[in-house]
Amino acid sequence: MFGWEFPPFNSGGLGVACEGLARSLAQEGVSLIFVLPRKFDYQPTNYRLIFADEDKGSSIKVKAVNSLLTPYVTSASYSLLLRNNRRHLIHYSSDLMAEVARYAQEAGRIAAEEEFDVIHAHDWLSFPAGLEAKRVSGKPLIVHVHATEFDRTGGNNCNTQVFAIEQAAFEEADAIIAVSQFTKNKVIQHYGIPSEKIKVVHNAIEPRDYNVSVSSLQHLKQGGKKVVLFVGRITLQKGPDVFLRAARRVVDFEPNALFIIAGSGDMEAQVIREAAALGLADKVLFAGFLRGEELRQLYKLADLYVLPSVSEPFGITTLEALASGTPVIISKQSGVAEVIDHCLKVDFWDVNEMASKIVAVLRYSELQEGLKENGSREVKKFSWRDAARKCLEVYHRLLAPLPL
Amino acid sequence: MPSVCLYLHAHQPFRLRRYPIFDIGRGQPYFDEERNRSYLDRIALKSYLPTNQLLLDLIKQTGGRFKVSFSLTGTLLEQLEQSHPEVITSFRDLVNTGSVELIAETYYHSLAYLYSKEDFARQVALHREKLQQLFGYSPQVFRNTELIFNNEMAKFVQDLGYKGMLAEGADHVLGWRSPNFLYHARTADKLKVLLRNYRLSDDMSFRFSTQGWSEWPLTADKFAAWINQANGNGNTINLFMDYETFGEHQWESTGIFHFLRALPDKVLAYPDNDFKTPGEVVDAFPAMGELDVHNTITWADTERDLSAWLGNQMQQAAIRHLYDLEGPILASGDAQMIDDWRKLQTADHFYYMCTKWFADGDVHKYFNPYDSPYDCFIYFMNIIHDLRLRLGMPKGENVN
Repeated sequence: MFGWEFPPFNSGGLGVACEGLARSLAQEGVSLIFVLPRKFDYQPTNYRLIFADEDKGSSIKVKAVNSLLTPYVTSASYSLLLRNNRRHLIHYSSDLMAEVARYAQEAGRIAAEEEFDVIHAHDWLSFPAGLEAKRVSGKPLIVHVHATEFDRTGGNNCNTQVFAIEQAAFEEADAIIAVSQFTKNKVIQHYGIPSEKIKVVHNAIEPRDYNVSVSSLQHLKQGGKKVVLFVGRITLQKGPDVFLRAARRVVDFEPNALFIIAGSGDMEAQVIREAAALGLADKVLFAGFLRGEELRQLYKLADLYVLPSVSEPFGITTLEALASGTPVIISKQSGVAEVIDHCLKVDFWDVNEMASKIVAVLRYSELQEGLKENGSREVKKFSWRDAARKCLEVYHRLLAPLPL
Repeated sequence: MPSVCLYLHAHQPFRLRRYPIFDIGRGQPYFDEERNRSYLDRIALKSYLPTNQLLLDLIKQTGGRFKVSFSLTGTLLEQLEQSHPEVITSFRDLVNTGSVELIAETYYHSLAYLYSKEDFARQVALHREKLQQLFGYSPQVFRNTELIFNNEMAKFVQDLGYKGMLAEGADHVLGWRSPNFLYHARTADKLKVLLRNYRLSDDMSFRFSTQGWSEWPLTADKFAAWINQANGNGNTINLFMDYETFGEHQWESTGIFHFLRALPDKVLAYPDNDFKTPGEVVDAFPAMGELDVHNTITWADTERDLSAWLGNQMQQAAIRHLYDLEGPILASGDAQMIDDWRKLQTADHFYYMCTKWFADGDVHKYFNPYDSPYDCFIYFMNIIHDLRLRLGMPKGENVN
């Protein structure tokens, strides 16, 4: 299995999903080798982790970790460009593309050394690695789509290199796993892949205690403040600007509403400026990028979680919020909207409806209670074990002898 | 000699508009005229018109021996008058045959009995007026919304002057006894109660098109034979169901119209059998026992209770806030506002807020015009805020 990032060194849901799936596959009896491009200090108990940059006599020198390399496209200029209505192509830094290519070469080396039956690669950064491993070993390749270039860019100014990598991987892979029907449709629609080749395996969350103590944050709710939470990268795809505009509408009706944005990203400076310009400087708090215990405290503290994404392949944060007993409003343009009923759903562009629903949750306690009670029950049906079993079905199908 | 008592319930609510918080105080309409019209267009075409025509044919063909009864809610009749007067005409043709009985109920298909007996009585009177105005008809038998029934209500309905009332033949009320006899409530010895034979009713209205059912396909021959099995062990087989069973819940392609067309002859082929309307059943048979119903029963779901309407906190809060406005609304004398308030009482609004099976994607999703039960609650509560503003009540940040 080829991935790109892993908690606690993840920048988003991709790493969380990879870890959850890897652990459960191992628990289902799969002898799993998980390959990551860069070394870090972590060793899981039930499967092996290999780092492509470990020196094993390889002829390829790998550069030191460049902290700017994340699996997510930078979209700093996208919204600006969109506003100016100009066509423009964004280029990844040559460093990132070079690293992807180096990772692929290392993957070929690893594939030649290791014993395995199937190859499973997560998202475009590791697709070349998966393809190379397939070429070297002749084993079947499954590519797992957590996001497409169309999600990351909102369909405008797709990076042609990334798109080409995705296109090639989708075509050459023996099977494709998509994290939602929403994502599967994107792969069919934008890449022309036949439906039968794609299986939907929804993401899940780890069963753990989300009922954490929030005593250290309780002061935020002094004076009857009600917390509305955004968690995600501050980038076009995640809709932080939509969140701000909804906040602007809400505070006229609910002056006690306090909006917290947890995350970082290329639109951060712009969003902070915009918050000030909208007169929301004291109504919107920027918490920065949070993980683990801190993030769980924030979920727990919040009266409401909002996922306003423009295009969200799945949206694991929704499950985390629900597991914390926090009601959610989610974009209809998301994979998680397919599988969660006990929530409020809005079109991401419908700022008025989003604001109206935010006010309703803050105002009508029975609504908040109903969403909370039913939502926290509903989220219990998600398990990585089920997701792992569905992946296993794909493995078995690929490994089954062809009928005579 | 069992009589067959076929009773059909026809109703459409005034569904709420998507009513965001920003519409409060801006004189926006509460009801979704376009959507209500499009639902009605479909149902009139698929169900009401063809079924009315079929029933009329059957009455004529049998020389009036085939009989049927209806409850037609005020909210349905009002919408039909506005956009489908030809359906009113076809109901009038049916009533004029003399083989059709109309049943009394609340005009607004409301749960008013549980929250305001005064307004309940007023709504029953409004419905009588409507039947008189459209059909020149005075009903003598009563049914409450969703066949809500209990001891106290039976007494109340008896005191309103009705001779009969419809209720659910719930197992936990009947015990070993049969629904195929008349009963009276412990509290009301002059009011005869007709109980729904839910097995035979549901065979027709729910299981008819279920291919996994061992009795599928259900033929009129077979069904008439089941009815006849009650011979000597019951006076009346009460088949109570939604009128939309014909052509909507059961599409035409299921064969439901063929079934209905064949049924009268098959039933009447047994020499002892006949069709009776509820009023005729009340006149023909004695009450054979006493019902003692402390906890309200309905014809809904397996629970046969009110949990689909009032089972969660949102539903309870919404209806409580609505009835809290009764005094000032009625005192306002504003006919439009009073009518709006009563249309908000229609039980469907609370049904759409039901969360108990929401995630299972079953019957409760059917016909729910909103994305979710939560959406319906939001629109409803926003409208309550608006009503309060219209009443000049303090705005308040929180109606709770």
